[in-house]
Amino acid sequence: MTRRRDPRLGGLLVGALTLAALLGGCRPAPPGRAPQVTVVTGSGVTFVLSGAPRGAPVTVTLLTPAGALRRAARAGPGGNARVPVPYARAGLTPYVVTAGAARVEGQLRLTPGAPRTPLTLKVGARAVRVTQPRPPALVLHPLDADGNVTARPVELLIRRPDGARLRRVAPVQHLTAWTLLPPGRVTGLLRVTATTGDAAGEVGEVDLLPGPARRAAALPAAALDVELRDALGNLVAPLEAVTATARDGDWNVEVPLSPVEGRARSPAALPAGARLQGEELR
Amino acid sequence: MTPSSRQSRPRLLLLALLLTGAYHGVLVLTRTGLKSDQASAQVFLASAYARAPFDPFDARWYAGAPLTGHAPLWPELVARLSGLLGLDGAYGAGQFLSVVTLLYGVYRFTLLLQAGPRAAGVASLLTLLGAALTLSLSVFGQVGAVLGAGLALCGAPALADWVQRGGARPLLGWLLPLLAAASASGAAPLLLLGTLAALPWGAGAARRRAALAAASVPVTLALLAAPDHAWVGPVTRIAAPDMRQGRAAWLTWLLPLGSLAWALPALRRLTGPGGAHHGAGWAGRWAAWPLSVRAAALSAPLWAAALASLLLAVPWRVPPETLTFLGTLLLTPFAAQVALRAWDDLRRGGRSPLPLLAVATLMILGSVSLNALPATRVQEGPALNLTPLLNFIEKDEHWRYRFLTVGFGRQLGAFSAQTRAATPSGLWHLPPDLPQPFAPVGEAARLPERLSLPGQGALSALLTHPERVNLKFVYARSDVLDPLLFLHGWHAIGTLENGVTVWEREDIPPVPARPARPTLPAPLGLLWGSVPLLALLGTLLLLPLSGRAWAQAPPLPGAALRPADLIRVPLMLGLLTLGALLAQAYRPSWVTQRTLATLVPGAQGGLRGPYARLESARLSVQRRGTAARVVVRERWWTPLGERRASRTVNLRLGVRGWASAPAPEAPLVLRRPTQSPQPAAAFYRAPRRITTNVTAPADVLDRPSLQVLRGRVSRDARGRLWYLGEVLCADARPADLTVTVTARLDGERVAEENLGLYGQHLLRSGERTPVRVLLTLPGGTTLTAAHLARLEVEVNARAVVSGRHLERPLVSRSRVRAGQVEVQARNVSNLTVAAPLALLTLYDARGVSWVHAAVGPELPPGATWTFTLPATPPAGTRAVRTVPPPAPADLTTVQPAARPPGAFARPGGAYRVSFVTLPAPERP
Repeated sequence: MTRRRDPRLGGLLVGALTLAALLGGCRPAPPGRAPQVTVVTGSGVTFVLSGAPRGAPVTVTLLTPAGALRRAARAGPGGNARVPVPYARAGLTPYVVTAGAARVEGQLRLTPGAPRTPLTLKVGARAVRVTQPRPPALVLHPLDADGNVTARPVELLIRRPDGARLRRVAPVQHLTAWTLLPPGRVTGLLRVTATTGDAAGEVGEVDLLPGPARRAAALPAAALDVELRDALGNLVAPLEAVTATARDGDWNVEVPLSPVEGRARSPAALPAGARLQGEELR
Repeated sequence: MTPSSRQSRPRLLLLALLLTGAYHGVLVLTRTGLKSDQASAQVFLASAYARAPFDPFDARWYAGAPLTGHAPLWPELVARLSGLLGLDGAYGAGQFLSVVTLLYGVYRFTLLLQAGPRAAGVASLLTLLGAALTLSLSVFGQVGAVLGAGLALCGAPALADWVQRGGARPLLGWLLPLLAAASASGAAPLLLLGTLAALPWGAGAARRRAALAAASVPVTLALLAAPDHAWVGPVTRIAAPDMRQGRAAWLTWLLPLGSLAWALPALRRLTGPGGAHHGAGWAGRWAAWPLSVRAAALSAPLWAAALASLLLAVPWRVPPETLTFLGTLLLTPFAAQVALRAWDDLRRGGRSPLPLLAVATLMILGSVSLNALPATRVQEGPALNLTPLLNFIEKDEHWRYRFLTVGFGRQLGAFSAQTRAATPSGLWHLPPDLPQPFAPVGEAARLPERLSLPGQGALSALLTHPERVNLKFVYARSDVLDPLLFLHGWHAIGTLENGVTVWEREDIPPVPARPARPTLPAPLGLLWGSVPLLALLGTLLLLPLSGRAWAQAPPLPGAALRPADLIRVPLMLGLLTLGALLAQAYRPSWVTQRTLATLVPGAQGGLRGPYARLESARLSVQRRGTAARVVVRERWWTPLGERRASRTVNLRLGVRGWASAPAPEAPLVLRRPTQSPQPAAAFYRAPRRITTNVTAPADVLDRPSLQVLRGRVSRDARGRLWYLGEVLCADARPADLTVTVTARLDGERVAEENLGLYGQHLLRSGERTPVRVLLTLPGGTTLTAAHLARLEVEVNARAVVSGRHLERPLVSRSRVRAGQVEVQARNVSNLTVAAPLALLTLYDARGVSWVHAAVGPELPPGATWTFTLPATPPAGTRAVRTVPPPAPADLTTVQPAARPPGAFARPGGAYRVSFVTLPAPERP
């Protein structure tokens, strides 16, 4: 007599096996090996991962000065992943890469590219007096294609109205290249050009203007027609404030003069003994 | 067809509507309404609602002001229609709709008063062709009141139905018109109150409903006023001007009343002591009066209130012209009955109706001719072509700065409506500019620019501190304020194609992108923008167009109505007016006043010519036979102070009255052209960088270097504090200067003032300007000696490079005699100086001790101006604080001399005379 197997037993067995399989699936995975991270720079940065768990989520976080920059991807069937990050700021930037449970930290160093045309010249004062103690300055930020300040020194050519051509090399320090522009003693237009690498820029210009009237030729007796120059011998600027004063009986006479091209002519007849007055005319 | 059915046909109403199309259609097409007084402000309001329907706030006027203080329906209607028709077209279409609504409302109201359909039709015609409507639309521009009155009258029958019988539809039939009328004009619901007062209500429920309806009027008005008090944050409130200003009784009161004056004798006979039911009490007489007589009697309080508004300071804000318009509407049904009765009597009596028709034609002609009155407005010039201005504003981001206008009159509203640029001014603070065919002396001097701006102060304060309100441009159609602008450092940068001169102030920051403003709770803004229009829509939809059985009262007593009134009264009024006008020509004072009032400012003469306006004149008449000699003592207003003068006018009596003898021709003086020994100067002009990026002003503007020299704070005899000092342009480039003096007490700022009139704003290189600035302390603040010891004063001088107005055309001779500095200034250039300002700077051992100023006459080439100024500071002035100069910057190239160039000795120190010279504009 054969004893027949209870069919409910088979069902229980299948259920137990299924439960065991499910529980086995839910068990935490053992910590995997850290993936290998390669950083490729070019237009932006690309993180290339290999050895990541298959299908694992991959996150790249760049800790930039402007805040964290995150990009996510998923590892392919071979455990590889490419995560492009649109970041091009030069300098040292820490990053964190996670692939599944694995975590990789590192630092990314980007260097500025070649400077690009045009260079924008920032000239301190657009016009200065040649007698002014402090000369004007040129400040320049040579930039690459991504807006990074390049590190190459800047070559400057300064052409002064007295014919002098001055060459300067301004190193880029603290992201700025700067230099003073010695104005010389002659009025006119000072031009400065800057080049670095293959990049060039507009011509910077500074008006070199005369100082205040300092010297005057001797006054004629009756009508005033006088040439006015500054301390360096330049003809004074148009409409430099100069006045002629005189005494006519008990009247004080004052005639404002309007120098043009360095010459001032009195619009009215002046009494004898008239003299010029100006802030620097002693 | 029975006679009764023929009579009930609204043939006269159809005629009135037909005439509306002909008459008001022409007015709309010729844009006559847009030349009225209020039209411009209403167009501006409409533009504001078109920009933001649910945000009743506009940042373009008064540096930002809420719109909730103004009735919303009319501008909202124009704003909605403007999407299809444009603002001007929408104004015309809305005006036409308002007239039609009013005529239909008058027709129904007259029927409600049991006057019958013929009288109702006549009432519509009288309203259409009467002076009151023409004045309202073409002179006052109160289209909102016309629309509101029409809506209220349209709702009056429904109100009567509801009070008598109740019911939901009649309730809606008057509640919606009430809401719409109240949002069109705050006074229009008075007509509903008048309806309630005129009709008999019996007792019980009807009386209770009548009381409820009467109470709903103030409740509605209060609800509409509530949003204006719900703003959160600082709100610029624009106080309405006194209603007595700018209004004349003949225009506001007499003309509307005079147009229906022929009905008044009949009204007096019916209601006066000798009338019917004489002897009964007031209640009995009132009950016995026909309804139209009651309505006419109810107009009396409105006429009285309007007259009170013209004569007294009254608490209400409803303008008198609105009250007279409403009074006319209440009087019209009775007048229609009177006119109809006269017509019927003439027809029945077999007499010719020609005299009546002739008088009616004359009155209609007179009424229509009122449309030409706006041409006599004093402050309003011809219509301005705004396109060049709008182009200028849109160019180079000029809209980012605020502007002022000079000589635009009410056209500022139409101008502002078309631009996004803002102004610290507006029209709401101005009294109306109404027509004045015989403008009295002084009207030309009532320039709107002279009034202080709400929240901004006087014009001179605004011009001195333009940066506080980002005011950069002044668009001047008239040159009357040129001296004030120029002496405050403004300069004209050119004249546009329409003749408007653009004045500019340098170094002004633009208006912030999001300026601070108060807020209104969003639901209230939504309701404000939608409820008035929905109420209007509901009212129009609920208007019954089909006929209904109107009760008709028996005809008015024939004894009281005399057809002769209709001819006699208008003729008498016309003859009286004509006689009064003709008689004026025989009054020497009137003729002299007319001569003075029509004086045209000369093109030359400076402050005695184009920059002056006659403010008042006192006449003294000496008559000898047919000749009269009138001595006139005149007071002239100029932007730099008043001037008194006198003149003699010789009159001669002729057939046409007195006439002034023609003034002798002034001898033509041909001046020898002055040859300047100086060649034309090539001024340095700053290279401006053209950039589309908004950067710091310091990066855009080219700034010359300045030196602030030693100064002091002095207190004058009146206790006012003045800063006195000097600023030197140490640059090789000329400077357009802005000097700000800040006073601090214990670190807290107590005053911050700019250099205004007492200084030169345009400096040559190496030139100094004296600086005299009044330090205005907060109201009531008095500084003790201990305070003054702790007072810190900081002077900030900044400038941009300029090449304008650097000529120094005056040479001077001066001497000190008897405590006065006598000066003779002569123009040695070949250009005319329009208004010279002399600055006399007094120096003592510690620097500038005072700055005196004097304004001179126009100086043609070669002319001399002689004047004297005190050689000492004013009595009682003493220095209370020395302000050392700031440490010199390394940019300094000029070492200031201890004694300035051009200074001369005086007892106790030195003095220097300098001039600010406004060049005369080139005129053809």
